[in-house]
Amino acid sequence: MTEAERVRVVLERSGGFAGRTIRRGLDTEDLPAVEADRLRALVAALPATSGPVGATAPDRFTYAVEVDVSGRRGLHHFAEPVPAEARDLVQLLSRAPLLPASR
Amino acid sequence: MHLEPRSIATTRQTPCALPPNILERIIRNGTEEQRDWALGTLSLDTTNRMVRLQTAQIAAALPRRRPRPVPASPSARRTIADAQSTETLPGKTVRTEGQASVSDVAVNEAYDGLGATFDFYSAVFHRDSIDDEGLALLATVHYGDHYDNAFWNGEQMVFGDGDGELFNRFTISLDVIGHELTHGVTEDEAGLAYLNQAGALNESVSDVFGSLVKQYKLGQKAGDADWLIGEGLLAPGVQGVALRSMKAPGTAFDDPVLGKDDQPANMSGYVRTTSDNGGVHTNSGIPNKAFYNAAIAFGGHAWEKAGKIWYETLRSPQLRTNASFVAFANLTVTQARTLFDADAVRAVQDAWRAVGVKI
Ligand SMILES: [Zn+2]
Repeated sequence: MTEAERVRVVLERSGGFAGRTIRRGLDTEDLPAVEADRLRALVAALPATSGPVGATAPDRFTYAVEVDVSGRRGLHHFAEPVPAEARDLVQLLSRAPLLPASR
Repeated sequence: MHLEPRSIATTRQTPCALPPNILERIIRNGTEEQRDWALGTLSLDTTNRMVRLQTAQIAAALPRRRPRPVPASPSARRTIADAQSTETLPGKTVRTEGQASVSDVAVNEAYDGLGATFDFYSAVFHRDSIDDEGLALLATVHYGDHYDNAFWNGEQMVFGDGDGELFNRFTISLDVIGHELTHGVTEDEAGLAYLNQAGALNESVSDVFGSLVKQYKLGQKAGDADWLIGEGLLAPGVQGVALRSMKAPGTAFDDPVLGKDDQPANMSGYVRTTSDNGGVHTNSGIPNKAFYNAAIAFGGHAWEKAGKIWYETLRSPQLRTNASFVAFANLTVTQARTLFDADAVRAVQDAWRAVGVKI
């Protein structure tokens, strides 16, 4: 991934007490250069995962991270506790702008 | 230890040759050797039908826990800790049992909510804390950064502050606290799997007793309660009154970001999905509505009859960890008969049939 590549990431959080799927996203094009670089680095560090996962206990979250790097797409699935390599990205995306619910 | 009484060893060739009630009596009253033999005999026939039957018989014969002296009036032992926006548990202790309220509202809500839940289980079901063995209650507040959740981690309660956009702090609703602590009770009693119908039952049981904790605290009768789960939890601007409605599943919210409440109130709307562990927070609407139906049919305080029936169902050795709605429903009918009368049986049957659960 080069410095200039456009990176878009959507965090889809499911489960929890609410049991609702909440989507939040970030796009390097909307971010200041420093934050865009940080997003690229966090995305590059994401570990590969093998398919959807269930919640580890009642009302815990599961996460799907959808990544688009200049058109190349990836999908990563995590349950709590989120692995260390993905934690900072999940944390960052948990404060990202909300996206409409997929109905 | 496996010493077989020689004289009866031949019955091993014909599984289930002894009437199950005899085996049950041996398991219950026999010597250790006899018990080992009886349990061994019961497990010879491995057809599903026999395994089902035997599991129930063994469970029925072996008490879940030995009778023990009950303290005159069990009282809660609460500790509230503050994670200070980290995800480190339990965090710094900020209030313990008997201490006066503090300036932090989340701490006081957690303290009071734990107390109300403890008092409910103690007064209504004579249950001594989550494990019925007097477990000290620990809750951590201010967990994580804008963390949108509350959960029971198997040992303690954890509350996030919410993101402020969608959710307020998770200590705000008493039924949320009752819901989460009830996950601890369910884990202790029934161990319902957190998947598909068993998972939706697990969720529903938490909603049922979470709502009853609130109704008990408010002294409400079934007809006067709001039957909402998570009232007050939705942040200002979110279009909805709560997260779930037991009275009218599918009507709690309709919001551009949160989506529309899609809980079914009938089996005809059962949602087949792989997300949320098989839609456990969605399909719980069906057993939730069944409980509401039963509570309204009984009238009065919902914990006195419907609550008692559901609680004893949860404790029933016949309730399997992978129970279906139908299996759970049938056990509630059994409990209605055991605890009450023919009218109660009819009320419970009607409650389930009205939501399309065929019993
Ligand atoms: Zn739950």
